Amino acid sequence: MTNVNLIDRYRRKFLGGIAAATGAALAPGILLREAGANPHDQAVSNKVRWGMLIDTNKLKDGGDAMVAACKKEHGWGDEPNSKPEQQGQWARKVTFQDKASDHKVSLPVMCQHCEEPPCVDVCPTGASFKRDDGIVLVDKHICIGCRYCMTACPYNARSFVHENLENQKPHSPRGIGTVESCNLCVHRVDAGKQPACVEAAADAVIFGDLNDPSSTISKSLKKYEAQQIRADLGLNTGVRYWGI
Amino acid sequence: MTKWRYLLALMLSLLLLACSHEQESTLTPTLMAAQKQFETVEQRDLHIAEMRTNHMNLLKHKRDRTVYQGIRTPKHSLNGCIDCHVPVPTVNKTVKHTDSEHFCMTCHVELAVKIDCFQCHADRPPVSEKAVKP
Amino acid sequence: MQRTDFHEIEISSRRFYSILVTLAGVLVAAAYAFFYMESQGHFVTGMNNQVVWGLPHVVAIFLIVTASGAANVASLGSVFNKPAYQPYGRISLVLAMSLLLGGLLVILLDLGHADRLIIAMTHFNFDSVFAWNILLYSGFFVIMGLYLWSIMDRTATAKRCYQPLAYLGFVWRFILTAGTGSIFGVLVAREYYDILMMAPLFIASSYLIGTACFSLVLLLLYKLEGRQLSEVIKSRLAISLCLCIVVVTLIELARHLLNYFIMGYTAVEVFVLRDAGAVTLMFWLGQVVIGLVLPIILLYLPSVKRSRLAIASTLIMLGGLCQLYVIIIGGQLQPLRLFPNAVTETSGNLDIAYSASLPELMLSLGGVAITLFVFTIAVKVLRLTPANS
Ligand code: SF4
Repeated sequence: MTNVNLIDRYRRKFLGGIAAATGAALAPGILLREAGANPHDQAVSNKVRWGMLIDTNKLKDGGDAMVAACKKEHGWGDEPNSKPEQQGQWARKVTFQDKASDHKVSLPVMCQHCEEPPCVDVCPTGASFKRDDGIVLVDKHICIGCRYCMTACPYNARSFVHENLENQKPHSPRGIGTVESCNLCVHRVDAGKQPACVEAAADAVIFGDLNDPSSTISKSLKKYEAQQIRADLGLNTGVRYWGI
Repeated sequence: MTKWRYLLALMLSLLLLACSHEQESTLTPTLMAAQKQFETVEQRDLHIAEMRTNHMNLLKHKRDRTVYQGIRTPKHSLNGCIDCHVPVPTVNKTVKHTDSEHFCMTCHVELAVKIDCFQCHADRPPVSEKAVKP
Repeated sequence: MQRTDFHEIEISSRRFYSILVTLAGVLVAAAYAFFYMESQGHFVTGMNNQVVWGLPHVVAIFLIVTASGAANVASLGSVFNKPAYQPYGRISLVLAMSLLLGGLLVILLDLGHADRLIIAMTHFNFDSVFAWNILLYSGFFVIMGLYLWSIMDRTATAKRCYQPLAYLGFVWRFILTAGTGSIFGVLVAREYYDILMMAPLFIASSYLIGTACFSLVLLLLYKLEGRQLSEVIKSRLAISLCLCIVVVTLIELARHLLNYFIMGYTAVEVFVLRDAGAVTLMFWLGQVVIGLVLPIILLYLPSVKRSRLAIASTLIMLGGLCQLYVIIIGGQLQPLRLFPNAVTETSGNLDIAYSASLPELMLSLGGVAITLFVFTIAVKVLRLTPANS
């Protein structure tokens, strides 16, 4: 019996004790987080619902900068082996011309963080889920790669990783055989920062708490008429647009 | 009857073989040194002992807290392990999880336990913005 | 009632093993294809972010739907009390189980993470139709297995369980097929799949394809043994096929008319029925002409008596495969419109096209091969085949 193994045993007992003690202390301590200032160590709460409001009139480039910022932040879209339609695509620029007005509008489209996300309903394992603060995510640990969520998404917002990846960003794990999509830069939000795309188009996009009536985003939503894409589906999206 | 005796003997010897291998494996392979070192030997040994038996549970527990609750403290964070146990890539050398000298792989190859952490997670510390330009 | 004796099929070992070896060859190729896809990733397939389900899913769902229909002969014998079908109940059940096995394997092996099968069993999201289907499929094996036991065992317990199990099996098949159709039906964003019609369509098609598959297999089995299948059962199968063709045609017709005129899904109907190239061809030529029109003519024409059942069954199965291809691939090929009132709409990497690659084809064939492999062994080692009818 080596020395290490002895320590092992002692350690295990010791740890068990600690775990029990801290567990008891932590349970009632589910603190509510102030929107904006988020210490890393508190669980997210459903008092908050994160959302984003994009003013397409103010977007000079139709969202190119936002898409580029997302790409840089998460490192998707340059998979060497995948064909173009197999590449990761968390956000894309969509341009459309209205029938009545002939008006051309470009806007970035990504996961709309629905309140009633169809992807979450259909996922067999529960890997697609909505966090308490409204962010729709894939738990890639339990995603089996069935792609059901991709067919269910009305926005084409999801992509499947079609090959082995290397050198991912430490803050944005993504890998073969799992489905991915915009996660509202959850790692930044948890650190109290704004998503990368919002920073890239600061004067055209407002990010904030939809549940808080006094937040800038809520006030702006009320003041102007902001739209959802495919509002007819009744999904109550967290990403809203002006001027579409 | 003899047939069974042979079979029994075979199984026994296989069992012995398996046990003898078990004994061998208490000799751990040499691991890559961590970037940061503990102040005392006791601290280090405790860390080794805890991690050797429990790292998978700690990581898994933390993983769920991070994914579902957004708790991203440094304690038991996989990125934290990697930052300390895998060297920062340099122009000349990058240690990847496909190399057997990679901290995690050294044991996992030895014990033939496959992990899929690095299909998604970064297997090396990030290169700082400045250092990336040659 | 006349007593039926059952026996293991009588074919020479050489023949038996050569069938198995041939099938094993396909299986090895399929296994290779699977490992290739698994290690390289799905970029080696024709599937992409728009057409996420490809040929493997078409074949897998074809096999699953056929499985449910193939068990129909057993139900006809027990639930509907048609003695003429009773001798074939055993074969029907074993065929159904083998088909389901083949279909399930293909679906599982095409997962992005087939190695996480255990997660699919331990993490259940009960809102998901997919999760229900996992339960329905597992249940199918159990129920059909028990049902088969109640037919084959001579104990009093088995006899007592026979009727209840027969009913359970019948209901379960119904739900299973409806559930499989609902996989597509619940996708609100995809207009081509409308829940109202998807479930009945799948149920009707499953009867049609399943009966066709059963007829073909039964004929092959008798041919292997060098026996003649009785004319009675042949004509009964032909009649049920005709009936099913009529029902499927009516439901398909209703579905398209409903989509076009009532639901207002004109764009997708026009797309699939006119503009989708290969898929359109597959609909008109494959599903309609080969799968529905030709077989019914063939089954009604008395002049081509010889092997008309075999030919018609083959055509029906081909048509069924086309039908599922049109539903699954065609439904995904139609681009999703974010702005229904827009004249034009362009966006990122969204070229939508699909053509199956070799590994996908191999994997799909593997599903068929495993079905036949299991079935061949079963009829060789179990007393399934009626000896005197
Ligand atoms: S691909 Fe993953 S996240 Fe999507 S439905 Fe399947 S298991 Fe869920």
